[in-house]
Amino acid sequence: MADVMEVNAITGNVVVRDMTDSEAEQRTKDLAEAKVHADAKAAKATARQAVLDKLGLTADEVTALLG
Amino acid sequence: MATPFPFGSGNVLTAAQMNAITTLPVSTKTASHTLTIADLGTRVIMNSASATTITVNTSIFGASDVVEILNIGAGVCTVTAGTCTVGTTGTLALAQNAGGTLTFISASASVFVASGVTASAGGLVYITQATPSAVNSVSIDNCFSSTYQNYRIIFTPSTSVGVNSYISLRYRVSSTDTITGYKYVEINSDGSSVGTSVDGQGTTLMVVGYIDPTSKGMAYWLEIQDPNQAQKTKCNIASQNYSAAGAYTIRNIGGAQADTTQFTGITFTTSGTSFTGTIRVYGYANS
Repeated sequence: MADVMEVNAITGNVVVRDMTDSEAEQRTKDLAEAKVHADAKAAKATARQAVLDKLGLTADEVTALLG
Repeated sequence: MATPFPFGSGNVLTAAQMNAITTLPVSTKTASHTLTIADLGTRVIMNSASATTITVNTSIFGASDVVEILNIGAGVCTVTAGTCTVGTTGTLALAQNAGGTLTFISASASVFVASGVTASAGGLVYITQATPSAVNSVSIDNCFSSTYQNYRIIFTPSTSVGVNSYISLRYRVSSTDTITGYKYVEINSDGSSVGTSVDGQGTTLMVVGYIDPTSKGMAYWLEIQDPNQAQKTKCNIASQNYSAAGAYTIRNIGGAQADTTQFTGITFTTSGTSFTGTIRVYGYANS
């Protein structure tokens, strides 16, 4: 399956093609960076839940308390 | 009815031909066209759903020669200077139902004068669209130019594949994406809580929105300022998602690309598997 579409607004040409090697390399970097951010977000959520557990409160109760 | 224009020595005109002189001969085009001597004194009508060009080259026409141009297609038709200069006080990008007169002042110079009120006289002017189907990225080249300072892009993903993934943008020039210098802040809410983040997926791109593969409706509205100016490109994105469970999430992302590069295009990429949808680009008329 081709995975890149290019549209030229002046000529109207539309090209659908496979990724070039450099584009595939950039995508690999992007996905690695996305994983880093996803892991950081998950770690933050875990730490937040640990605090809630320690306090014996649910997330809704904290929202009600602070809201 | 076609006239025998241009008239030749010894021609004898019929009454019908004399009457037909009041009607310009028409040449309908459905794809980009380079003007030839056969277009002299005619009305070139462009009828294409995609963007097209009418190219003007030198030494085809002479002083005082005239070609009428009318765009009746949905795609923008741009009168383009090839080797011949084309002056104008307005825009050379003709939206649907716009047209005008191309008058030559010499073999190498012409002036285009728009007829009546064109779509670019005010408000938003449609530039182009892309309809990606199950692709990982879509790039739109030459959608930003000096014609407009500011742009609106309406991006409607119909389907997308990839749980916990996002769609991002990168500006581009000469068909090459710029992968540095993005900064953005995000605020999102599902109505009961509010979340924020800074550079949520790094600074090599700018997040447009997050993908919900089971969504009943996702929509992104991008306001882009100065992409083709020699200054930072600013962008504000409003998006919403209507989940399969019937809950709305709204998101606002504001940021900039720090370079002073004069970008000519934009790329949208998913960190998931693929997306399908419609992307339309509009320019805000400068005056």
